[in-house]
Amino acid sequence: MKEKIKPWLYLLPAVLFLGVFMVYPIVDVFIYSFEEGYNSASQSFFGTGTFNYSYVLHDAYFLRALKNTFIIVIITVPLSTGIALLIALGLSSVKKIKELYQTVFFLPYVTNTLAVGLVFMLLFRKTPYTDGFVNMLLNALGMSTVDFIDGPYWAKMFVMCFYTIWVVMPFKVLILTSAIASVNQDYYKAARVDGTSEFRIFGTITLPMISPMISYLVITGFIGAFKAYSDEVAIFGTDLNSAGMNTIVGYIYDMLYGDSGGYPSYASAAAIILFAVVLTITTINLMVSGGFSVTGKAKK
Amino acid sequence: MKITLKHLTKIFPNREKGKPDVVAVNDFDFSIPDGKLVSLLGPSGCGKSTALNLICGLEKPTKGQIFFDETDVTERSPRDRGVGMVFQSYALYPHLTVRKNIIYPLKNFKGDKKLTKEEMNRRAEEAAKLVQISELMERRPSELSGGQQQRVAIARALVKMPEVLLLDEPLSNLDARLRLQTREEIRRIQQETGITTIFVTHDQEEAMSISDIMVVMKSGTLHQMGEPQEIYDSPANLFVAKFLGTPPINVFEGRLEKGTVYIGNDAVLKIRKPGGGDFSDMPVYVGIRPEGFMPDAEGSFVAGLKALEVMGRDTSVVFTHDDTVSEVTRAIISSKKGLNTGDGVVRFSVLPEKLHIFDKETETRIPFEV
Repeated sequence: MKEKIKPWLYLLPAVLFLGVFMVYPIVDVFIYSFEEGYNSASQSFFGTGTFNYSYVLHDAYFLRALKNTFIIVIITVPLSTGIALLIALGLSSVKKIKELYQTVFFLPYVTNTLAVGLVFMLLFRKTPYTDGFVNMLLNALGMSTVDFIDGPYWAKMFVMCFYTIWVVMPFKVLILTSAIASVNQDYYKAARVDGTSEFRIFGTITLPMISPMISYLVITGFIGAFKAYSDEVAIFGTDLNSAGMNTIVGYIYDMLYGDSGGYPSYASAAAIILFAVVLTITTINLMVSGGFSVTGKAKK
Repeated sequence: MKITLKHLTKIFPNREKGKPDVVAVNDFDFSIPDGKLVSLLGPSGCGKSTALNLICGLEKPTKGQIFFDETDVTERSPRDRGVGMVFQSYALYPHLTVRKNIIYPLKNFKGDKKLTKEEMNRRAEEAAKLVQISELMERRPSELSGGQQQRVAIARALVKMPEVLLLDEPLSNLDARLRLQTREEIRRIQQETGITTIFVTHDQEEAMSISDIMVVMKSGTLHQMGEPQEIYDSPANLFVAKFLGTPPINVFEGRLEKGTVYIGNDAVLKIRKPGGGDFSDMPVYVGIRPEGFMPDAEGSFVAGLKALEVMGRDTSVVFTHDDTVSEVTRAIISSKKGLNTGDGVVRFSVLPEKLHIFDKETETRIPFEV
């Protein structure tokens, strides 16, 4: 009997902590999302039902946020992973001052998001005094000035995706560089003795060997991008709705604490919708990437 | 294919600054005859694998040339040398089946050498049959035993029908019994195909049993090359003598005095120069193979008995001697007859052909006649 209690005793701190700060809130949010007109001050509500979902799904702001989030996800996840793979491959083949390059590529990771946002504003923002560095470049190339921060939607989305890719890249480069470095060199030697082209070596050895890491990055990348919010604030400020650049998490925040906020029920419904979306995408991801398993056992 | 190395040298810069460069392969200058199995033998870190990498083209030599038959291949890439290589770790691609692993090199053929899918399959099956893994074709490497993986690696190296096969410590990841089996297997495959084969190992027993010709090396330098028995019987120097043979040769501090080999006060053997003539007096190392001791109540070699180890077929006598240089000195005798152990002293006479003397300075063997 004593032996059965012991492991649970060891787990108790973690179970308590996770229970109070993770499980309970999740269950609570789920309940809130079905309570209509919940008031956090009086802790009262009118009734239960799916009205919150219906409201959120018909809210133009939410639909806009949903669209923005999907665009960011679809553009940034494949692009950042692909570019990171190219950089990692480059880094792995560099011999001299490799450490310096690695440091340079990793610097953005240890830089504060808001500071990076500030720099991006300086690069892209148009003010009465200057058109910004990027516009200077565009002008030099004979193109007209674009207002990236307060201008057309595509320009803002471009800056947003550029920024997101730039911020998430270092971590991916780091993971992929170490994944490539951990491939047994004998595979490459064997392939080279057999006269294999570098291109085929990449496709038939490197890529399959690091595919678990790639699917890890894609899955966490999707999850991270769906939860994007602080990056948007860093560039467009807190009033994301007026900038037309709100995301789902931004919408949830606004519903809770924003100027139009105070609606925990709507926020909960939006949060559950986000959860459902992320869960669906992750499940699909896991099913697809299962086919790439290195040992091949998962394939059956 | 005959392989000729001409003054082949490979120098690696030392990673620690200020330390001298590492000469991994020092002025290799010899030929490997067509169709022979040659082993490169030496202790770990002696440059065996580097020599192999130079031959297959994974490393570029610092100096010297490599010829395949009469063709200079020094500047050729591994692809154009067409050698097959088996790695110590086997390097089987874990995500591919055995069949796909074996076919892998064939897919690199370009131009008129390009093979159809059927031909590739046929050749892969032939190679698999040769190494007896035909029934494992659809498995993955992780589902095979070490010995089976080894065979797959050999099949993959043979499938492109190379004229040179290189094996880098192919047996060191196998357990003792499998090692014996695979060793014979490699010998059989080599003889069936007649491919010139270079076999790298640090295990002298393995090298002795498998090879036509043995190349003994240490710290990048070639010490002796020849047939295994010939090297065992007449080692070029003390290192070669000590490196070959289990249990190892017993080495003593000795001297030549009036044409007689002395170990301490024991006059072990009377010798003269080959073709006649007397040796002048000098200090020498005396090496005696364990099987060179004959129990003899009248024997001139006197030692203290430490232990008797009965091994069934024969007996190992561990003894002590004041002038020994070896950590353990032992004699292997076939019968205990004549071995007087009454007072803790054993007496032996020594077989002349199992005794070698080495120059104390250069450690090279001094040939003699009895």
